[in-house]
Amino acid sequence: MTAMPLLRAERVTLGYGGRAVVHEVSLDVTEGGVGLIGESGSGKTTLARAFLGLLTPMSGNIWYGNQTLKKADLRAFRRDVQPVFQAESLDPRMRVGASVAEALPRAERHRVPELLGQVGLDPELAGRRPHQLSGGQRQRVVIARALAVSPRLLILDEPTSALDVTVQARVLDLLAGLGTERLLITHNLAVVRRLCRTSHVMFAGRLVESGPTADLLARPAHPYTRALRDAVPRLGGAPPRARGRAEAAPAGSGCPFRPRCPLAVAACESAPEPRELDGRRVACHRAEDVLAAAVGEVS
Amino acid sequence: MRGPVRLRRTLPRVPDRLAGLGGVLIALVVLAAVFAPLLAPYPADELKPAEALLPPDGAHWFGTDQVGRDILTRVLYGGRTSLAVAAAVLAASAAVGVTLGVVAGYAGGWLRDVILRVTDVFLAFPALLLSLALAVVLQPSVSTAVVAIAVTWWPWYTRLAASVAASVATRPYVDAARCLGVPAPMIVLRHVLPNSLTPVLVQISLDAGGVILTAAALSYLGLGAQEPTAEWGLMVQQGQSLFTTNWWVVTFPGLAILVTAFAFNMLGEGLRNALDPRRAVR
Repeated sequence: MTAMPLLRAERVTLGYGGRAVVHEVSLDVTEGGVGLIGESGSGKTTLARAFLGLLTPMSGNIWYGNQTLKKADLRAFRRDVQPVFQAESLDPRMRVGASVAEALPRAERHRVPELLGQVGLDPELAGRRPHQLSGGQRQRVVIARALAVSPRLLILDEPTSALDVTVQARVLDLLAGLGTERLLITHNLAVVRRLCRTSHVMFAGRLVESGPTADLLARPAHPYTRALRDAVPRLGGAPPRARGRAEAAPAGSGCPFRPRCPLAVAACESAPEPRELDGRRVACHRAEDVLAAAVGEVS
Repeated sequence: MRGPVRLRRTLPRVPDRLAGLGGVLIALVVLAAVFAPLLAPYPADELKPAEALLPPDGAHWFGTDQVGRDILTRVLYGGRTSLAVAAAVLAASAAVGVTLGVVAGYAGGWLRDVILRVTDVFLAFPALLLSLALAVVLQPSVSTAVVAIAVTWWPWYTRLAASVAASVATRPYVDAARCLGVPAPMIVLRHVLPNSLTPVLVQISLDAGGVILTAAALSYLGLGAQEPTAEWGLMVQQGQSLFTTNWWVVTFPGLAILVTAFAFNMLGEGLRNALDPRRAVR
C-alpha cells in the first residue's frame, strides 16, 4: 500500500483572466523528490503556484492530505508546504535577517542566526540587504526563510537557474542534505537527475510523460522528453539543434507537440490519451517507436 | 578620448549634481522662511505710504510695494505661506492617495475598480477649474486653497500608487510572505507600501513646484491667500499692473516662485536615483 501523497493535483485546469494555460493535469507529490520539467511557458510555475495555494484552479482540485485546499486548515498547510523561489525573491528593502525572521513567531526570532548557520551562511550577514550578498548567498537566505517553519515539503521554483555552475553545485548539495520532501520545478535536467526520484514532463500546459527520473532521461518515451534530453549541451559534443517549429499546436487540435514532432503522423491530429508504458505514463501515439529508438541507442 | 571619459567618471553624474543644487536651494528657501522674523529687515506688515514704490537700493534690497512695505521682507514671509501650503497639500494628497492606491493595487478586483473609477471622476475635471470652483464655494483663504488643491491632487497619487502596488504585489517576496501566512494588512505595510513609495516620493517632489504655482494662481485670482497675508502669488497679482513702471514689485516674488518650483523639480529627478536601493552604495 502506497502512502498518501502530501499534495495531489486532480484534473487541475489553471489560467489567468479566464484563459487556461494548464489543462487537466493530475500529479502526486510523492516521496523521494518530484521533478517538474519543461521549457519556459509550459505551465510549470503556474502549477507550482496552485500547489502553494496562490492560484485557485478553474476546475479540478488540489488535495492536501485528504482535504481539498479550499477546505484545508491553511495554518497547518503553510507550516507543511513552503516555496523556495529564485535568489531574487527577497524584499530588496529588508535586511536578510528580517526576511528570515518574518517566517518566525516573535518569540522565536532569536533563531535567525541558527537558521542562517544551517544553510552555511555567516550569521553576521543578517544585517545586510539582499543587494549586498552574492547570488548564492541570497539563494541560501531564501532556503533559510523556507526552513524556518520546518516544512515537510519544499516547492522549489528554478532555485539554481540564476546561479553559476559552482555555486549551483553547492546549493544542490545543501538541498539534497535537507531531509525535506521536494517538488522541483526546473528546465535543468541535471538538477532533476540529482534531486528527484520521479519526474513529470510538461509541454504547453499538459503532462506529456511521467515516471522514474532515471528511466525518463535514459529512455524517453515521448519525443518532447527526448528533444529536451538531446538539447542538453555536452562538452566536446555537437551543438544541440532545435527541430521543427517553436510553437505548440492550439489547444483542442490534437497533440500539442505535433508542429515540432519529427515523428508526427495523421493519428496525431487527435489528442493522445495518457497511458501506461514500460513503467511510466506517456501521452503520445508514437511512444512505442520513441522508446524502441531509445532502447536501441542504449544498447 | 581618455580625458573626457576619465572626467565623466570623476565628477558626479549630471542628475545628481542638479539634485544637489535643488536640495541646497530648497534648504535655503526653507531656512529663509523659518527664520524670516530674524532675517527680515522690517516688520512684515509695516505700512509706509511715504516710501511707496521705491526701487531696490541699500535700504530696501528688493524695493517697496504700493503701500511702502519692504518687498524682501514680504518675500521672506511669503515663503512661509507658500511652503506651508505645499507641505499641507502634498501631505494630505499623498496620505489619502497612496493609502487608497496601495489598497487598490494589492487587492485588485472590484475594490480596485471602485477606487479607480472614483479617481476618474475627480480627474475628469481640469484641476485648476475644480480648485477654482471649490475656492469660490468656500471662503477665500489659505486653508481654502489647501483644501481646493488637495482635492484635485490626491487622485494622481492613487493612480500612481495603484499601478506600482499592483506590480509589487506580483513579486516573489510578496508570494513568499503569503505562503508564510503573513496577514494581508501586514504584507501591504511591510512589503507593498515601502516598495511602492519610490515613484510616489519622486512625484511628490516634482509636484511641490506645481502646488506652489497652483496656490500662487489661486491667490493671483483672489481665491487663495488674502491681504495682508504675504504670499508670492498674491504679491505677483498685486504687482502685475506695475510691471512696466515698477518692475521690482512683481519680479522678486515671481523669481521666488520660479526658483522654488525649479529646485523641487531638480530634487525630484535626483530622488528617483537616490531612492532606488539597487543603486545604493555597496
